[in-house]
Amino acid sequence: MSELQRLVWAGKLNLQIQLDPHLVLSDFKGSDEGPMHLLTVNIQVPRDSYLVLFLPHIVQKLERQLRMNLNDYYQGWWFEMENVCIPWNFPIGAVYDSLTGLNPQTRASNFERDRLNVWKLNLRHGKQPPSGFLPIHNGLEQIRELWMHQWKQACFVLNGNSKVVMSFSKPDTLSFWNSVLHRDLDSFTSIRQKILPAKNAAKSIPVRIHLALPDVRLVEPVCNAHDNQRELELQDLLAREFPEWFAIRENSLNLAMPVVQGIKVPINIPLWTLHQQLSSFDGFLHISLCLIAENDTE
Amino acid sequence: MEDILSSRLQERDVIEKNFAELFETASALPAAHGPEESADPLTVLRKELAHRERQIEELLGTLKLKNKDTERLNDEIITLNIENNLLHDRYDKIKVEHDEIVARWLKKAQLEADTMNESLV
Amino acid sequence: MSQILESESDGGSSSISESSVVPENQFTMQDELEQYAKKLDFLRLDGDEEPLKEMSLSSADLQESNGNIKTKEVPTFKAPMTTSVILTHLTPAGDAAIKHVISKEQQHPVKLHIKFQAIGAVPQVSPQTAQISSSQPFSVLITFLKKKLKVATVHCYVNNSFSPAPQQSVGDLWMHFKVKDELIVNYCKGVAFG
Repeated sequence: MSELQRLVWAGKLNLQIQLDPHLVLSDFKGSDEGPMHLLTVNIQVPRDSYLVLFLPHIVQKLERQLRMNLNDYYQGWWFEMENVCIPWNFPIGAVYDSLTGLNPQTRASNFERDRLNVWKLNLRHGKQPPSGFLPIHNGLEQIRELWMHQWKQACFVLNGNSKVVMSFSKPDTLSFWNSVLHRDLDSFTSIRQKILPAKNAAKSIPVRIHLALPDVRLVEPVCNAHDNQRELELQDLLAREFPEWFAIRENSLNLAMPVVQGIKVPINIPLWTLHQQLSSFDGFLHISLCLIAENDTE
Repeated sequence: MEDILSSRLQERDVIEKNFAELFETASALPAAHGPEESADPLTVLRKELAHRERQIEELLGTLKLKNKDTERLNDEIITLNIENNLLHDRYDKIKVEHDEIVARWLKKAQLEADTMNESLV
Repeated sequence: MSQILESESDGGSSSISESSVVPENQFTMQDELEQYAKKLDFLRLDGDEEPLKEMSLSSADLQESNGNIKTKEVPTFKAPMTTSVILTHLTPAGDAAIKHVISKEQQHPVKLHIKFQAIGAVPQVSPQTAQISSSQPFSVLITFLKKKLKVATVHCYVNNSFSPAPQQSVGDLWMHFKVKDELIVNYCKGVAFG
C-alpha cells in the first residue's frame, strides 16, 4: 500500500451539522441567545466514507432535544446544504468537492493560520424525503448492500464480470465491510487488492464524474485503460466527455479542472495510476469538475 | 507525478486539520443500542405530543370540511333568498293584476246591473 | 321576465328538494366525507402536497405499455447557491462553454433498448423489451417496473450482477454493460445477489 493510499484513507472533513429547528422541543428552540449549541454538532468525518454511516453518532447527540421518539437512527434522516439534498450513496469527500465547487488552488492561496475549514450542513427528518434521495429503510444493512453493489459494479467494469466479488467468502465480505466501519486500512487494502486486476489486464476503469454546474449530475463514462497500446490519460477522457471545457493537449485553454480527493490532479496522469492511488472506498475513481472563474489563479 | 499528488494531499490535510481539534472524530460503528424505548418522562411525553399533533391534524381536516360546508350552505341561503324575492315580486304583480281584474269585474257587474235596472224602470 | 323567473324557480326548487327531502341521509354522507377527508389528510394526499402529486402524475405517465417508456423530462437538481455564484464570474470563454453544455443537454437524447428479465417468482413484464431515452436516470426503470408489477419494492440488477446507483443515467449503463445492444435488467421481489 502506498503513501498516497494512506493519505487518501486518512483524509478528513470538518462538519458543522445543524438540526432542523422544526424537530426540536420548543424549550430548546433557539431564541437570539438561546441554546443554539444544543442543536449543532461539530464532527470530523473521513472523506472516504458515507456520511449516513455517522447518523447514529450524530443523532444520539441531539436525541434529547428531539420532539419525537425514534425507531432507528437511520430512517427518515437526510442532510442538506443550502436546501440542496446531499446524496448519501457517494463518498462524502467526493460530494463535498463537487457540491461546493471546491477549487483547491483558490482555497490554498486564501489559507491563513487562523482559518478554519468547515462544511455546514442541515440535518432534517421526515416521512417524505426530497425527490431524488434514496430512502433508507433498512439501516446499516441497506448501506452495506449498496456499498457491496458499488464494488460489484466497479469489479464488472475492471474485469468484465463481478465474479471476484460475488465469490468472496463470508468472512472476507464481512471483514471488508468491517474495515470500512473500523477505518482499518490494512485489512481494506488486502481485500481490495483481490478485486483489482493486474496492471495490463484491466478492461476499463470505473470512473464517476460529478458535475455541480449547470446542474448536479453524475457521468460515468466508459474509459478503457489502454487505447492502441497507449495508456489512457485523464485529459483524453476529459477532452472526449467535455470538449467544451477541455481542449485536447493544450493545457492553457482548459476552462475547468479535475479535482480528486480534494486536490487538483495533473491532467496528463494515466487514468490507471490515478485509479490505483486515488480511488475511493467504493472502488470508483470520483472526479469533481471545478469551473475556473475569471479571478482564479491557474 | 506521485510526488505532486502526495504533496497536494498533504497540503489539503494542513488546511483541513487547522483547528480540527474543535471537531470530535465521528465513529461509523453502529450504536451499541437502538433508540431507547424506556418509560422515562421524555419518551412518554413525546408519545403524548405525537398523539396530540395527530389529533390537531385530524381536527384541522374536520374544520376544513366544515368550513366548506358552511360556505355551501351560505350559497344556498343566498340562492333561496333571491328566489324568495323574485317570487315575492311575482306575487305582488299578480296581486295587483288580480285586484285590477276584480275591480274591472265589479265595475262591469255594476254596469250590467245599472243597465238592467234602467231597462226595468 | 317570466322566463327568467321560471328558470330561477327551477333551480331553486331542485335545490330545495335536495336539501329538504333527504336531511337524514345527508348527515351520514357528510360523516363519510369527513372520514375520507381525514384519511386523505393523514396520507398527506391532499391537493396541497405538490411534490407528491407530481410524482404520482409522472409515474402514471410511465404506464405506456407499447414498450416505449414515456417519461417526463429528466429531473434536474440545482447546485447550492454559493456554488453556482461562480457562474457569474466565468471568463467569456467559460461562459460560452457552459451555454454550449446546457444547449447540448436540451437536445433530443437517443433511445436505447432495455430487456427485462424476471428472477424467481415474479411475473415477466410484457413486452420484455422497452425503449428509454439515454439521459434518464436508472431510478426511472425501477419506478416503471414497480408500476407495471404493482408492487411496492422491486430489486433491479444489471447483468445478474449488481444494482447500480439510481442517479446513474441509463445511457452510461448501456454503454458499459450492454449485451447485443440491449441493457439487461434483472428484477425480483427479494434480494437476489446480496
